[in-house]
Amino acid sequence: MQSSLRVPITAFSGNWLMGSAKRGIVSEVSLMGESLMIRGKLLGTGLAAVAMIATTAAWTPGANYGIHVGSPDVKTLGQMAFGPGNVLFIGDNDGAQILAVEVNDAAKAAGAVNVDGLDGKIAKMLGVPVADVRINDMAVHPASKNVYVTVTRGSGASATSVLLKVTRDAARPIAEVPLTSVKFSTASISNAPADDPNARRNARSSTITDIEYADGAVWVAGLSNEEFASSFRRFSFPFDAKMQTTTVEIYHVSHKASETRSPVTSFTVRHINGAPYIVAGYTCTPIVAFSIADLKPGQHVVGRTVAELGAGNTPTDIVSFTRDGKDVIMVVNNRRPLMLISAVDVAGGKALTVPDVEGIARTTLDQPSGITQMSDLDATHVVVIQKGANGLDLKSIAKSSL
Amino acid sequence: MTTHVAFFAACVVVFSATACGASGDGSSTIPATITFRDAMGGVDYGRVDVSAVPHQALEALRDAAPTDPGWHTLLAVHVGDTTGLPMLGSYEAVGDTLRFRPRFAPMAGATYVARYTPGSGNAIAATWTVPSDSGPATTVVTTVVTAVYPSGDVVPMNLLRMYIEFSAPMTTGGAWDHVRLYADGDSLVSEPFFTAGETVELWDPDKRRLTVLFDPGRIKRDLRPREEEGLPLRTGHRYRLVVSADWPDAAGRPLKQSHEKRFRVAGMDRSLVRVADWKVSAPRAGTLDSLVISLQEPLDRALLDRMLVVRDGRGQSVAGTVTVSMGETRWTFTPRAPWPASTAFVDVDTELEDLAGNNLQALFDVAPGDTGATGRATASVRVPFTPR
Repeated sequence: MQSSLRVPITAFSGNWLMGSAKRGIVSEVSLMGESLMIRGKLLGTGLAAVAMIATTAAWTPGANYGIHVGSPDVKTLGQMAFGPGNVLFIGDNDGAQILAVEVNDAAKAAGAVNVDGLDGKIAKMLGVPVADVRINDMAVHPASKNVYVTVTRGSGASATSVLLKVTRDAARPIAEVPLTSVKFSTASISNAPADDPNARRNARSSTITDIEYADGAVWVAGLSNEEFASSFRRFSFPFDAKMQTTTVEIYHVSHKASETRSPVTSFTVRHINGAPYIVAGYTCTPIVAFSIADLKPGQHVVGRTVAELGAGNTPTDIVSFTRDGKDVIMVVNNRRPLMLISAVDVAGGKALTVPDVEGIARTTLDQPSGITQMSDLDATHVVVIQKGANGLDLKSIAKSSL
Repeated sequence: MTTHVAFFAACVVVFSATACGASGDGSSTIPATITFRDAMGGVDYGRVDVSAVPHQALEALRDAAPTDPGWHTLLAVHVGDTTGLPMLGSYEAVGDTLRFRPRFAPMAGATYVARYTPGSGNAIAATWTVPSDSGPATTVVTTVVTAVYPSGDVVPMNLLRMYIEFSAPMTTGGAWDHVRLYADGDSLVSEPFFTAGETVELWDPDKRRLTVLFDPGRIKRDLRPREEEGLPLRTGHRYRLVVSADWPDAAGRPLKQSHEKRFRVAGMDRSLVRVADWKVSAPRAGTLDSLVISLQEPLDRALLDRMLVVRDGRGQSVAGTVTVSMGETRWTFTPRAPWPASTAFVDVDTELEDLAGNNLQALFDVAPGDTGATGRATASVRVPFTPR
């Protein structure tokens, strides 16, 4: 246990109302049809856990938030999200931690950013064949608009992770962001089993599938390599000795009476009509929305399945952005076309009641195709990683064209 | 005076530009030599030295940071050929030598090119190909699949998870190229596993065990993947899980041999894990006899390692060794110290799962009308026993 407050959300089926009363449910998410329940046991002061959501946090000079200056001990660089100021959150699966690192990026760039054959160019910089480059995630610095990329170089015992940024410098569009002599802090995501001196070894691990930051909280979705349980956690930021951790297991429910467990593979946090929502994609394919504001101790939060995606498909990225003054949510699928949903519909639309209907209104985009990742770039563009003739291209796409 | 361009070759072995195929020193008034020097070990990844660099060329970059792209105008090091971006690394001037240290270790088998461009005169270049790992120590192939779980011959139709264990750490990132499921001989089962588009692999921290999760969307009722594709496994059919031998271990060596796990598929398992059904054989007091629990059904191999904890009457955990056998239907605990003649208990985590993901709390998949879908509401339950 990392903190004085921990809210493990453990759930079970059928009698959840009774169970929630018995077990100190923080919140449940459910709505008609496919539903999502989040419930939890409050071991500390749950109100504080909720209050932190409204706290906007930032690095504060002179304050000690467990911030170090040096070289963080990170093993792998994976999922990313930008936080306040220059803070970048990076998931470290092998290190079982979230790294918060200040990237000194004072650039004030604007406009489209495009790099054809991004993986090939990165391979040249890293001194390896392109087959030895794996792009893990992409995030846009909110001020500089540089595009940060986490990359794995090589494989096996010699594999190394690298943080790069893509700029608008035509001569040198890619540069390393060194993680030496940086200001950083970390939060453990270790959920190592309890003290069993007899276990032959601790073989349990978590794989971070997505990270988002909103309103002073870092949200982390992950998968366990053992029990089938979602770990959807919320960390307050800055991380400090009083760090509050919400561990959430999510069950989504069919036909109200049905309940299934399922981890999250991708999600986004978006303010819709002034209130924060999470829109999440699950391992068993539904896209579910729920209100963060409803995550209060002892209450049930109602979430709704807003779409099902079909067999063999995974939402690899879910992003939200504003287009023509309207908030939209884009689901990037690995097997199906892009799917555009109105954020207002997510907040107020109807939920699915049976699995074979289309859910709320959405627009399916056959073009552009081959997109693996997407981020909001600026008022007029998103930036994507797209499979092209020369490998993977980093490309800016006008929102108006989507 | 000759200038050489050298690269990262053996610590004392110098590959000069000439030896490595320099393109010539042309009209350079101060011929350079490029030398590749190999790593000394640790974080030293070797270096490229260019000797006899004109003073004014180095002076122009005197205030440049070690990683400043400005150095590339003098010396750029590339993998493969000189097109594209130069490799990351740091530069320094040591006397009249310009030194480049690569950011990362050179890859075995790769060719690197260093190109030195003096302010006047022709550029020279040298190449160096890193020897492939070919010593006997690295070519001996030893890594094998040591186990696949469930180890039994029969699994439920709604099997949720398998584990593949290896004798040594494996490479990650390409697992789904090497694991196949065949039905009834050679009929490849299409996308039976959850891979998130081959972006997610669930490894243990040592990279010696891969968790293979069947696509939960194809197992749970009322979800579109199941409606469209059906369950990955069908009752009454026989399957082979095949791990291909060309899967490189962490040292880059293939497996010693491929591995095949055969099993037959029974019906659905829609029952909670029930400790009331377990048969507990209490050990004799004062001995090191094993406590044996017959679980009555196969349970998840990994969870059996850590979700049963033996505690004495005061709740303190008892030190000992756990073994799991009989196709994960038998759990055995052998203490380090003799059993006292007092009641103890096994603390069972209610998240302990069977092969279909059902645990003590709830079924994995619940549909309207299901009965017996929920069970224990506590985090753990106690199974008491008294050494005789």
